[in-house]
Amino acid sequence: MTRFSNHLRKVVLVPALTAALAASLAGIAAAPAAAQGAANQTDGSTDAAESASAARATAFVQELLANAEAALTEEDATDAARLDAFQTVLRDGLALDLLSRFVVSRKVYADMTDDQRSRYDKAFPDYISRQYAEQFDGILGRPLEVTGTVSRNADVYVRTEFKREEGSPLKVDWRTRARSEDRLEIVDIIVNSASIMSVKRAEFTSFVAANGVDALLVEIEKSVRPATLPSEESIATDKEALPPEASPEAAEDVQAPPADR
Amino acid sequence: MLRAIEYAFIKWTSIARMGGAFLVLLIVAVTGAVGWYAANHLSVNTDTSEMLDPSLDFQVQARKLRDAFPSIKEDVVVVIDGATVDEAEAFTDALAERLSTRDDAFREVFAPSASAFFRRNGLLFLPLDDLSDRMERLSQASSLIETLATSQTSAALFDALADNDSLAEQADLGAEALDRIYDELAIVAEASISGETRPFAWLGAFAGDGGNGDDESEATGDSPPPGRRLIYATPNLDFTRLQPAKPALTALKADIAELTDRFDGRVEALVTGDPALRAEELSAVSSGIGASFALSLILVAVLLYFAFRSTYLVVATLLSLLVTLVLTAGFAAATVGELNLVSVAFTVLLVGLGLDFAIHLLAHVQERRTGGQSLKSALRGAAHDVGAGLTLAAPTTALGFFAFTPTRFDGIAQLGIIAGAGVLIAFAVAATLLPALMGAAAPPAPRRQGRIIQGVFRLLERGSIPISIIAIGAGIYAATLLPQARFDADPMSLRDPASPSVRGFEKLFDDAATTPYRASLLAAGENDASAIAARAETIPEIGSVRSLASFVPANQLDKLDVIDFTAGGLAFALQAKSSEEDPNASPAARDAAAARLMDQLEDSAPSDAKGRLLSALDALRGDRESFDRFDAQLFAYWPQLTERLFAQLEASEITATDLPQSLTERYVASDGQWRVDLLPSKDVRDHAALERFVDAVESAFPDAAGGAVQAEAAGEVIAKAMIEATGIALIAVTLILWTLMRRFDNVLLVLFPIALAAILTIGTSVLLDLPFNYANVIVLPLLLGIGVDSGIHLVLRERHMSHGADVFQTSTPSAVFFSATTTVASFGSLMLSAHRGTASMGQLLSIAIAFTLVCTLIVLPAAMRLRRGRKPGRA
Repeated sequence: MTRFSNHLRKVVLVPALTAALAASLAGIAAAPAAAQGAANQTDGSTDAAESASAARATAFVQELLANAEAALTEEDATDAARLDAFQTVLRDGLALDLLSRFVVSRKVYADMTDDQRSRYDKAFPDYISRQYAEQFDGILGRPLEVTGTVSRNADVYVRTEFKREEGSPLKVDWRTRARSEDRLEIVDIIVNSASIMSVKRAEFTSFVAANGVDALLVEIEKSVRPATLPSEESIATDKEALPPEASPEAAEDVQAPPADR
Repeated sequence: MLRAIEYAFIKWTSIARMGGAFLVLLIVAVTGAVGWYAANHLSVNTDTSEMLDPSLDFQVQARKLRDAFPSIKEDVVVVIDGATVDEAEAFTDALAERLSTRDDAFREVFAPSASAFFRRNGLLFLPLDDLSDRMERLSQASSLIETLATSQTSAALFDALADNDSLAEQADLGAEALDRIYDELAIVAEASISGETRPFAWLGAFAGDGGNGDDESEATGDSPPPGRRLIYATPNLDFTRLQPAKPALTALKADIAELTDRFDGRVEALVTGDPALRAEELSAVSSGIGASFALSLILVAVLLYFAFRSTYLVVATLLSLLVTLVLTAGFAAATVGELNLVSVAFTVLLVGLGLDFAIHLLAHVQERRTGGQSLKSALRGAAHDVGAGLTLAAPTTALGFFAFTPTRFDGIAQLGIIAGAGVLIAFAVAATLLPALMGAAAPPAPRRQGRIIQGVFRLLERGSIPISIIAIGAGIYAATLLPQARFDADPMSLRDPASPSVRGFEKLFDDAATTPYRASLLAAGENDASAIAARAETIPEIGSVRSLASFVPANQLDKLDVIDFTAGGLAFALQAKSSEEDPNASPAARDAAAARLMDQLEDSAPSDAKGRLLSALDALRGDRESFDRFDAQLFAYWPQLTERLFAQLEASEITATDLPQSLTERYVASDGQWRVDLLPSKDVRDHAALERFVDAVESAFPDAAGGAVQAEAAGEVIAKAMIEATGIALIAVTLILWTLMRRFDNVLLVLFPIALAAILTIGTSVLLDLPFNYANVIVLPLLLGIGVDSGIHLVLRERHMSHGADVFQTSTPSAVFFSATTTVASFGSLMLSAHRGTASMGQLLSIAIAFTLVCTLIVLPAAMRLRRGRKPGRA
């Protein structure tokens, strides 16, 4: 899936996305105060239920990011274990059932054979969480600020921003949805107003149209292989060295095992 | 028999001459009364579909369709083309809103692009791939939209573009989208510098609709231009008027004119549809008719003067023509009441045939008076020489026209009744009024007749054999072309292609979905409609099927997913508000932001769009007034963009019950029948393609109706009717001639040149691709009438000649010549008309008269000489 992955990396928003994720993990200590400020900034909402939903969504996003940070920085765990823990956090937080059907399209999913569907359902969670996990190197530590929430239909969007040395702040919106009374999940991550899942869908559907479902399954399953987490040391030393916007080349460097660095 | 007719004619004209002034005044008084009656009781119906027998199968199906869906016939369609999508949309909104308030003029207005339903759900009608592409483009612009939602200033735009350009350069994504925006900005900037109006086309730049009509978004053969919108309006009809839709059309055109002015002429709106087409056609046919009539009158008068060399006789002839026309109009008012597009041409026929009797009679009177006879003797002598011919020609020709009445083409049948009566009236007027006039006031002594025409006839006589051989040879070749002759029953073929309604009609063909020429079926209900659609999709000549079910999009869930996830990127923009004191609003902020953008553009990878924008911004920064103008034009349509985009993002799943009533009513009748439209796969403005399409549809669906079926079926019926009518007319004429002449060779001599002229005319129409149509179809009966009259006159005149004398030395050939040329003079100028039907009438008429003259004045006399055994040139 070289073309597939390259296309993914070329997405201008992915470097920004990874930067935002890492930044949110590193700046989590500052989040509660900022989040409190963000809750107050919820535009135009005087409805108590909406305020409660906004606050709940904000707290959920913060907790998710905190858990992800904790998983990645667990001192006593091996690299593989940290990655597994990180993936578990993401899998628990993402609306994987919705996303798996969306990115491949409902029609393609419905037309899959039982075997294909089974393979896809099994591989997709690991695939999508690994995609995010592999982007973490060199991007942690940026200060993150929760700046507002918006409700639209059944979803609450939590906006986080992180400042860049040059240019306007990078905006990352977390689209959350209540899947049950006590459970929220992430439906989409939107970086500078562009939906990551929409980009992913464009990649998947064009790939399937050109190569078929079986080829997609092969690529997904192939990419779900043991990956190497960046070391804590590399995370710490690269904190200050991170350029304002991560380039596609930098993102590619993340794939190299630590020994090559 | 002929002698008895001669005697009666002599007696009648003598009595009329003795009636003198009293008889003239009586005729004038009667004519005046009849004229008044005709003016108040005669109307014109331009609906070509009512010219055919209503019991024909396709007419029955058409009527059922119209009864179930009257909007098909009654709707006007406004075709709106804007220089940009934004302007077209704004114009359409404004016009639709105005028309909706005009309850007195329109009972229903349906503007899809202005409809809340289609604004909200319109994206669902795109194919999934196209929708995905569009949402991807929108996604690329989402960040920019969100920025501008809080600050609609050029400074905010420039800063956002600088940011996006930097990101786009790094990621190799979005550059194409940005270039579109840069191009559009440059165009607006250049227009502002030139002082022109050119608002920024947001819809075109962001939604990927193209819509930059200033450049390349012209219609291809397969799709309309992006800035095209349609409004369908059903007018309230006032059936007390000749044009029932006129009040509504007048109101509509006034609104369009006002809005066109408001949009500085950057939006064009053309009104088409059946009511508009017919109104403009009537106007085109009648416009200029005064000048045309005056010109014709002058030409005819000049020709008559050459014929008679007497002003008195010219005036007398024209007076007899006028009386004939008025009396015939009165007859038409009393018998049919409502003329159609074919029978309204009875005036043409009567000018051609009505002058015939007067010219023959008066020319012969002049001939005798020139020889020294008194008026009384000359009139008596003329009656003796030409009376039988005139009396024979009148009923013969009239019966030929009456023979059209049994056909299923009501258009020609009506013409047959009126023209037949008109010929008889013309004969009666010539035999009565002219002698009475001469009795009331004797014409001055005749001048010596010119010899030019006689000299021409002598030349023709010498060359008659070779000319005849050529003519007959050409006739044999033309006979082989007869199967290719056709009747073009498409009423659009008659209309002025430059008229607004026709131009609008042609534009409907740019989009396969709006092509007016389609086949339509009535289905019992939804299941029946589905079965029809399924069967139709297997027929290659059918490009697509449309019914109410077509308006329930496929793959809605997938499409809604795509829209929903794109909308997520605009969640914050949807609720953003501009701040009251916007720091970006100052000219200083604007200049600074422009400078930053220019720096970014210069530093980044070059493109044509960037280069163009750089030049434009450079010019703007040095011109405060132009920059202010640029600001105003930049966000003129921003509110429209956000309103539409945000409405589209609220799309929801729809079923047939959710569709607007104004749409449902067009496809489901009040009795539950469904309308199913079958649209052709090819452009059926090509006749061969139309034929294939209709044949394929009728093979599968014999009950099909619709414009395409009507055009094709009507053409076949009319062609068949014309053949039947011509055949019946020829048989009737032959029988009368035989009954009265009792010599078969004389009958042949009369009929042969007519047949030859007809074959040559039809063959020429095939070679010139000049099909017969509703307007020029009268050429054939006119040819028959003139040919019969001329043949009878020449044959019977020869009967009176002494042995050795030649008919060319008499006035009869001159009378034939001037009778034909006055017809050409009257209507030949029609070929210059902007109305195509009228022009084709002029063209074909001129061709037919030319061949008739050749066959009557050259071939017929040659045949007569052959019969006598004379050689040409001998006395």
